[in-house]
Parts: sequence; C-alpha cells; structure tokens
Amino acid sequence: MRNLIVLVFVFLFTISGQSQTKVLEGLGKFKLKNYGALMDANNDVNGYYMFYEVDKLKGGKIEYAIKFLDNNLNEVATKSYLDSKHVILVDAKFNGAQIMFAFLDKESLNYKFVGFDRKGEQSKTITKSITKDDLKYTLLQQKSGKEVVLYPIKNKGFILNSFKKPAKMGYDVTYIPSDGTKGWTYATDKTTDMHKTINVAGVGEKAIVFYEYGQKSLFSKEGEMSVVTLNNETGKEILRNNKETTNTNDLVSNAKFYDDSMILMGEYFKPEDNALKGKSLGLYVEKYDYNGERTYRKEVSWEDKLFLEFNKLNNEGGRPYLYFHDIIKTEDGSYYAIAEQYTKNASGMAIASMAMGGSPTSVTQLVITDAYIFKFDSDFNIQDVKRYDKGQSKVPNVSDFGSPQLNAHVMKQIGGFDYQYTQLDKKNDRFYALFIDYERIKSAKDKMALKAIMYNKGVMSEDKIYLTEGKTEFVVRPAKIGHVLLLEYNRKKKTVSMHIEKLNIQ
Amino acid sequence: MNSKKLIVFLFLLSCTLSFSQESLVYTYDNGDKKEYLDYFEKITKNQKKSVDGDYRGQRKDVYEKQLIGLVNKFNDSTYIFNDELSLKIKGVFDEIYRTNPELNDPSFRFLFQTNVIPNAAAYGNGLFEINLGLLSFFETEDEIAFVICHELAHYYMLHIQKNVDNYIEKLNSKDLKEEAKTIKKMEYGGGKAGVEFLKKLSFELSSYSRETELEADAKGFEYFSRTKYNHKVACKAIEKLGKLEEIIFEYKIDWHKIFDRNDYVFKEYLIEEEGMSLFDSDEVIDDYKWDKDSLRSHPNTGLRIQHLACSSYDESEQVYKIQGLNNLSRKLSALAAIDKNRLHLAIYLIAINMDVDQKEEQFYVARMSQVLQRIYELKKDHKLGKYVPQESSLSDEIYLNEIIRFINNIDLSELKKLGQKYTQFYHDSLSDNHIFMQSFEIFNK
Repeated sequence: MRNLIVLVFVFLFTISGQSQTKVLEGLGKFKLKNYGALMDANNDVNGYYMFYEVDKLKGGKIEYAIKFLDNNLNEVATKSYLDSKHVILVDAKFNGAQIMFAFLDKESLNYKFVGFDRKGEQSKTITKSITKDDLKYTLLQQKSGKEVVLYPIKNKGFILNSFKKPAKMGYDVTYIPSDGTKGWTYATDKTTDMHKTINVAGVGEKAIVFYEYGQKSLFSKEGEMSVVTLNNETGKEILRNNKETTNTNDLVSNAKFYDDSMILMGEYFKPEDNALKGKSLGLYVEKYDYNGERTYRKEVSWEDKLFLEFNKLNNEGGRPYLYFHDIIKTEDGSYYAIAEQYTKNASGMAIASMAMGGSPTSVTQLVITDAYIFKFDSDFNIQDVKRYDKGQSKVPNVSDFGSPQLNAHVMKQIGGFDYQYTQLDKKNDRFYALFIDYERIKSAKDKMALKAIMYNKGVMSEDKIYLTEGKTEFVVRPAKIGHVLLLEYNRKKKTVSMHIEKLNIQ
Repeated sequence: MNSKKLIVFLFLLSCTLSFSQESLVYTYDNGDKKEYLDYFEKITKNQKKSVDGDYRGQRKDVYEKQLIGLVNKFNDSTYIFNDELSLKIKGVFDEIYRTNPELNDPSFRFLFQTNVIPNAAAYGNGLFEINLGLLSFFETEDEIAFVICHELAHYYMLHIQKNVDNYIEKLNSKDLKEEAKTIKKMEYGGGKAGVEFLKKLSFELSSYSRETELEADAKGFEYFSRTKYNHKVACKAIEKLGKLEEIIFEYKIDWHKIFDRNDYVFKEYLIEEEGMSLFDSDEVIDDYKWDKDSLRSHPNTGLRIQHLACSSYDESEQVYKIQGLNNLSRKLSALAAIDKNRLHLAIYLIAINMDVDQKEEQFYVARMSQVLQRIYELKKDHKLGKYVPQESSLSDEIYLNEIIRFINNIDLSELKKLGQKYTQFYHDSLSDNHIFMQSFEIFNK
C-alpha cells in the first residue's frame, strides 16, 4: 500500500538521500551478490530474487538477505538467511509450492538446499555431501560455462544435476523433495570405469530424461551413448536405451511429458557410430509410457524428402546441421519443433592466435545462423517448415573433439546458441520462442535484437525488440509468459531502469 | 493588498507552450519558464542568506539541493497552469488574506502540482504546492482554506528552517558521530547496526515532524477561524484525509458502458486477475520491517482532531461549495496524465468524469480515443512499461489495478479492433476534433 503523506511541508531530504554527509556514508548499504529469475517448468517467470550480503558475523558466518519480487516487479518479501561465508549460490527455482535455493559450501563440502514455502517460512535445510574432488571438478566445469542446475517438479520437489568425480569424471542427479517425501540420488560411483557426462533433455512431473555419454579415456573417439529415463519418485531407471536396445545410437535433445506418456526427440546414428566420430542419420521421435514401454518410434532421415523443404529454405553454404531446442504440443495435437541451424568450421582468429604463440582451447567454432520451425502432425509427419532469418553468430567450440552434433550439445549446455528459451501459454494456446539476433543491416550499423517467434492458435508471427537505441542499451531478461524484462541503461545520463514489456502477437 | 498580485498563477498564454484542448487551455510553464527558474533561484538565495549559526555550509547545501529538485520538477512539467482553476480558488485566498492581512506576502507563489494524490506542501521560502489531487478531493472553499492556512502556518512558524536545523544538528552531534564511527569500525554485525542506527535517526526526525504538524494544525486553525468559513470543517477535512487510503481510487469503471460500441463487446478476460503469486500473503513479508507508524511524518488523525478540539460537523451546515472544481481538477489531471503517458491514471480520471460530467461527453470521448492511441503506439514500440506499471497483488487500489490489467493484457490486434469500433462510432460527431481524428486515422488506416 502506498504511504500517503498528507498536509506535510516538504521534508527536503531523506536520511539516505539529499544530504549525503560523510557521517552516514556507507551505513545501511548491502552488497548484491546474486540475482535472477524464479522460473518454473514451463519457463514462466513467477518472480525474481536478489541475494545480498548484510553482515559479517562471528564464526565465519554471514547474514544474507534475500529480496523477492513478484513477476510484476513488486516487492513481496525480504527474508533473512544465515550461513557460512564460504557458500555460493548455484541456482534458484520455484515449483509452485516452494522457492528453492541451492548453495554450494566450499568449506563444509556440501550442497545446501534452502526452501521458502508459500507463507515465506524457511523450511529445514537439506544438505548433500560432496568430496574435494567433486568440488574441484565442479569449479572447473563452471569455469568452462557449464552450470549446476536445479529443475523444479511441480508442487513436489526439485532435481539437482551436478558434477561428481568419484574416480573418473561423472555426474549426479539428486531429487530434493519439498512435500516431505523421500529424496534419492542417482550418480556415477567409483566402480564406473568410464568418464561420463550427461545432458538433461527434459524434466517432467513423473520422469527425467537425459543423454549419457561415456568414454574410457577423454581422448578416445570410442564411447557409449545412452538415453536414460528415471522415475522421479524413486530414482529408478525406467529405461536405458542404447545401440543394444534400439539398434541405433540416439542423441536425445528434447523430452516432453504428458499425463500418461512422454515424447523423446533427437538425432540418431548408426549403431557403429557415435556422437564423437559419426554423422547423425536424421531425426527420431519416440513415445513411451511411464513404465518404459515404447508405443511409437519414427525415424526421419536427413535424406528423406520430408527434409527437402528445409534444404530448399536453407541458404547457408556447406553441410548445415540443425539443433532442436524444444518441441511444443499445441491444442490441435500438432507438434512444433524449434530448431537453429549451425555449421562447424575452423576459426580463422583462433588459428591466427595460435600462429602468434597464443593458446586458444580450440581452433574450431560453431557458426549459428537461421531459426527453423518444423510443424509435425500428431503422428510426427512433417507438415511444414518455416525459416526465420537471423544474423550469423560465431561461438568458439569448448573442444575441437567430437562431431558437430556433440559440439552442439556442449554449446547448448553453456548457452552458446542464440536461442534463449520457449514459453508455453497453454491457456491461450500460444508459445513464444526467443532468440538473440545480431542483425546485419545494409548501409547501417549492425544491431543486436531480441527476436520472438510466436504461435497463436495456428498462426505464426514474429516480434522484435532492438537492444540499442541511441545512447541507451537494453539487456533482456526472462519475464512472465509472453513478456520480457528490459533493463535500460542510458550511457549519457548514467541511469538504469527496468520495465516489463509484452511481446506483440499480430 | 490586491490579492491578484498574491495569486501568482500568471494568466499569460504562450503559443509555443500552451496546450489547448478545445476551450481548456493549460501550460506547464505559464509561458515564461525563465521567470520561474529565476524565482526559484531568488527564493533559494534568500533562504541561504538567512542561514546563521553552526554548520552553515551543510544547511546551505540542503537548500541548494532543494533548488535542483525544484528546477527538475519544473523541467519535468510537474506544475500546471490554468486560468479557470486559479479563478475558482481565488476567492479562498482573498478571504484568508482579508481576515489575516499579516499573512499576505506578494512574493508568495502557490503552484498547482499535477500529482493526483491529495496533498499540499510548503517549502519555507514563499513557495507552496497544491496537488490537483487535493482539488479533486475537496469540494468546498472551507476545506481548501484550512489546508492553505495549515501551509501558511508552517511558513510563519519557520518549521522548514527548524527541521533543517534539527536534522543538521543531529547529524553533527558528537554522540551521533561517535556512534556512526563505532558502527563503521565493527568487524561483525556492522550492517544491521547501521540499519538500526538509521532507523533510530529516522524515528527521531519523524517524531519532530509530527510535532510540527500539530503546531501547524493549531496555528492554521487560528488563521482559519478568523475567516467566514465553517470552522468545524477543519476537523472534517483532517478526518477525510485520514481515510484517504480507503476513498481514493474507489471508482469502479463500467467497462461495457464505456467501450461497447457498434458490435464490439468488451472482453472480460482483459481485466481478469493473474494467477498464482510467489507467496500467499496480503502484505509484504519482511524480516527487516520498520514500524511504519513511527516513521509517519504526521500524527494519526484521531490525535490531530483531538488536538484541535473541533465541535462535530453536521452535513446540513453551511459551507461554500465550488461549482465544478472537482471536475475541472480531474480534467486537468487527466490531460497531464495523458501528456506524461500515465495512461492508467488518465483512463481512471476520464471514466469518472464521463460519469459525472455528461455534458462534456465529446471532450472525454476524444481524450479516451487519444489514450487508446497512445497505448497502441507505446505497445508497438515496446515502451509501455516505462509509463504504465504492472499490477500489484498487494495493492488496495483494486479498481486502478483493474485498469492497469486492461492496459497490459490487451493485445495489439484486440486493441486495434476496440479502437476501430470506438472511433467509428463517434466519427460523425467528432470529425472536426483534430485530436479525435488523429486517433481515428491510426485505428482505421
């Protein structure tokens, strides 16, 4: 409620405002350590948090304050939180019943899960121990852009995907309940004789699907690809697919979950090939029930006439690949797959740098170009392909090893694509797919823009927001469905402001 | 003394800076920006000259910062000038100065501020502000006279200077400096200690402010009692202002009445409340909450009324009503809101006036078309959020929230449909109104 000031002479200064005498300088000011959006499983932003350091306390503890804003930027809560000075915030999410913060305590060697319920009450902290090697490996992965990620499961809990190094490099998938039920962990252990990494394809209310890649040696071109699905309640495998079970090697990129089934989509390889050395043969789609029974598999080869339309539309030279970021089911039963085109080539800059004595981590790069929307019917027959022009962006590969497809999966993990996220508005039968576009404009300066490709009850449209305007620069952050948060920085006036804007569906 | 000289709402019309909406002419600088900026400089200079005693530099600094604030406000078109409004309340000033000639000072200026919240202010240098919101809220000369007397009392009792002195003295007190120094040196717990320190200082300053409010009430009542106005109204005015948070923005728009035109039917989903929020709470959950009552700059209403010891007011008693004041003030507020793209306020004010001032329907229809056009253009350019906030689930202003929801929820295509039907309906009667026709062109091209 606004505080109405009635019949008051103007009090010309405030404690923290007008007369900034040295006496008051620095008092009551807190360091902002972290901030972010609280997103749910549909990428809808339910609010924002800001994490401040308030006070140093004895015994190596810090008092932190967490300020919460709702999805309209209204302040709704400020909570005090006490913890060690060695904690770092790794992720925060909202699952409808609880806001969960995942902290990594570098001294105590554990993850701490701190939840706040819908009354703003802090729940009992859950901890998960890690080893020194796990910590070292995690910090190394973070340096290369890969993050520990929390996934919300509606009204039930959260899944944490983190890094583990029992002997070889590995991974950890842990379920943290918010409803009082039991948690579980599924992780690599000392007996695992392979380095294993995973890429989470999707997390639903009942299951999590990820792609697991194992290698005996980091430099080996031989490896094992598996698609793993775990039951969210028990942590047990619902299925593990590899060349033995499907006669192909599958590189799953997306998983979508419905009441009684889940859809998996990705690229498939020959059984003797793998993502490290081979080229994918095409796109596959599978449908499973939650007992692991497959009800459907369809493969569409890249050579198939169904992809002719894509080949006609693509105007990039060379062998282009497609990375499928998401697949959305609309009210009429159709599926829309959101893809981004890329190629892999040598980076002239990196090679030149090496020639001059530099040591770049890789000499290849991914060149990311146009966006494509593929429309499938309920049986996954391609109905339509639309290309959406985007400017080219080049991103150095994390490593030169591996096929373009594998490089793309790694690029996805570190956020190297122009694609940002897709929001699904079930109520209005809409979705919004957002990209950053570096637009090349003839006879004018290139401009960075946010590009939205939108679906509204069967009709596709686009919207665009330029991210520079005169002396003003914009940074885009996620917001509630169908909106974006614009942080506006005016270089001349040195002011920062923020406002929420709706994307325009024509 | 000729009261015309005292009421310094200058009535010059500037061709370059005036806004003319048919018969209603208003400006944001009264046609002479330099004159006002020079005036602000002059009164600030006088204020600084009068500074005496210790810490002169710091006190002058306060007034210097006040001047910067005033100049910024003026340049941001915060003040509004309109002949008709000035004339409507001229009589109030005439009466106050007739019965209290010692209060009459030709250098005084009372400026109307576009703010829709009922309020008034004194700067301690001869400059006073009256919000349009106050003139939309009070209907009688009696109520407005009491408010003006209250502000004059602040000036003549030197409250502003005393508050500045009090603040600077506190800031420079040995105890406070020692305490601040100690807190800054603290290895542990310095953050919260700093907050407590600032809280304590704020409480003390607010408490001093509340005392001066009671003094201004009493002295202002003295001046007011000499006028012809109903003295019981003083407490009535305080009581009304005390209930402001319940009364303000209490008008519910009849969306269908306003927008159902031709075959267009207003869509209820546009004002539907949003879904789940982060927390189930009616107020901000705050582990660091400050006691709001202790921070209030004015005493609670009951105490103020008790202090004045007014007799109880009867609705049948004679008061001096100002015909058309509320409508005019709301009209100007709406126009200012449109000019500043505060479109949610504009819709609210236009809707009320459409209801109570039906003779001026065409004026308000043209304005509503203009608002719809602005919303359309700002949405197209993704700039609406700079001017119109998102709704707040914790706000008590449910009807204003509803308007905000409408503005934010409506898609461009739906807005175009609405704008088309609305402007087509009124085209015949408003085809010679250039503001309306601009909107008509936008929605019907």
